[in-house]
Amino acid sequence: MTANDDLERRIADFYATEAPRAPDRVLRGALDSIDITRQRRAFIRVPWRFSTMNTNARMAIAAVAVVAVGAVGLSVLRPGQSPGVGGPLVTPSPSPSDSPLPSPTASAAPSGFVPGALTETFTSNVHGITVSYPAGWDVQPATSPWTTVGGALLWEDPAGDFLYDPLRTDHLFLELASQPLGDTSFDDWASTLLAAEGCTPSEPVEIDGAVGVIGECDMALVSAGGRGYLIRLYVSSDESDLRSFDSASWFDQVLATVQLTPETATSASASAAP
Amino acid sequence: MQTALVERARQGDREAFGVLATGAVDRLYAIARFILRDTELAEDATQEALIRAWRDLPTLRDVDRFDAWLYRLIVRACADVGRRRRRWRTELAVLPLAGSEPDRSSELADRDQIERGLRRLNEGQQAILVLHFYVGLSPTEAADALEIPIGTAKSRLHYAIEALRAAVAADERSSIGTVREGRMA
Repeated sequence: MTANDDLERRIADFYATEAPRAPDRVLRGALDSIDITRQRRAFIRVPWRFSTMNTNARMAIAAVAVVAVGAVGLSVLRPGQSPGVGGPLVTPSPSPSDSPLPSPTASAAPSGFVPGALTETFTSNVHGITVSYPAGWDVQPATSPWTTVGGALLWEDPAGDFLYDPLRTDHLFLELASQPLGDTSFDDWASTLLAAEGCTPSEPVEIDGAVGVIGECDMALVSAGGRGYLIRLYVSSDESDLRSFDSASWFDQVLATVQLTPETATSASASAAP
Repeated sequence: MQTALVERARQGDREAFGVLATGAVDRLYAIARFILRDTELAEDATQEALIRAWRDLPTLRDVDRFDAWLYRLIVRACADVGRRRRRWRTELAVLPLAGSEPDRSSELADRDQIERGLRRLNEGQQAILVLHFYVGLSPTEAADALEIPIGTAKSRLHYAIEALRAAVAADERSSIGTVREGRMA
């Protein structure tokens, strides 16, 4: 047996023998907290083709869909008047040329949630980025550079800038972060992040002249001045009024206000340290 | 079995998550304890990891990767708790691990020596050793849990072992010196 094998065996024996059991209070405390903790909901962005349509087209589709749902509902409630097999079907058409006619059913739809106007401006000294955000939102600026790799930052991570609705905190927030790309190509960097978040890239994006990609999970990644930038909108579907929020459209408005200043960012390389 | 539980927990089933947490808590706590080498902090990190797991479970796309994801969460929680420790505490009282009361049997003396050596390593080195030798992760899997490149994980594992080897050798030299001094007295 080599010295190497011997030491490795001793390390494994040590861990196997000394592994402590968790005191009961650890599990009890965690489960008590979980009882009052709501889960995050995975937010699924609408397909990119939908997000690239103009607002009128989207409203047309929404109105047609609502009418279709209403028609199906009526057919269930009034079976005597249902079209029956072979009868005329109500087929929603996604054609942008359809006009969004007002209907009694459409007026019953929930009004879409829209955050306030983007009147405030936040500049991140750590990440070299400026962005507009709604009045009334709170900001938790980053206090340390983003040095980890392999995933977006969790809510309240000190390496991220978090701009959030104070009434919803981790249910509705913008997250900003950047880090030097070093030897990593932007494509590799972006692919890693998107994969880690289980997010499919949907289309190329240009933000303040920087080119990158936007994912279906409302995560935009661009490269500027040798840095990789992450801008993410998180929307929980826990809250009923947020379900009608056209986040893709609003996120596009936010992205249009972004200014990237990589030269002012805190320059710390992405490191392997946990 | 576990996949079904994870699916149910993702849908908000607290009972299913309770079963998963019960099955994982000892392993997570041991990892935290080995990395942080402090009972109280390890308890905090374990609870934090479990609460994060519950909160973020719906965002886990591949339920088959639940265990690997948990390791990532416990390592992150250890890093967060470790940061807070460095911020608020200037000195850390290192507690002996359970079951390592002074005993002169050679087996226990051997483990004491390893433990003394491990104390000299930093948290990053502790983490890779624990994930590799205790949890049994390959360097590739450990890289995923630590959120570092595979090459970095391999080199960190190598240097952690070498650092431990040097610490153990120094410990042995010091023991021999003590014995010699005793004989000469």
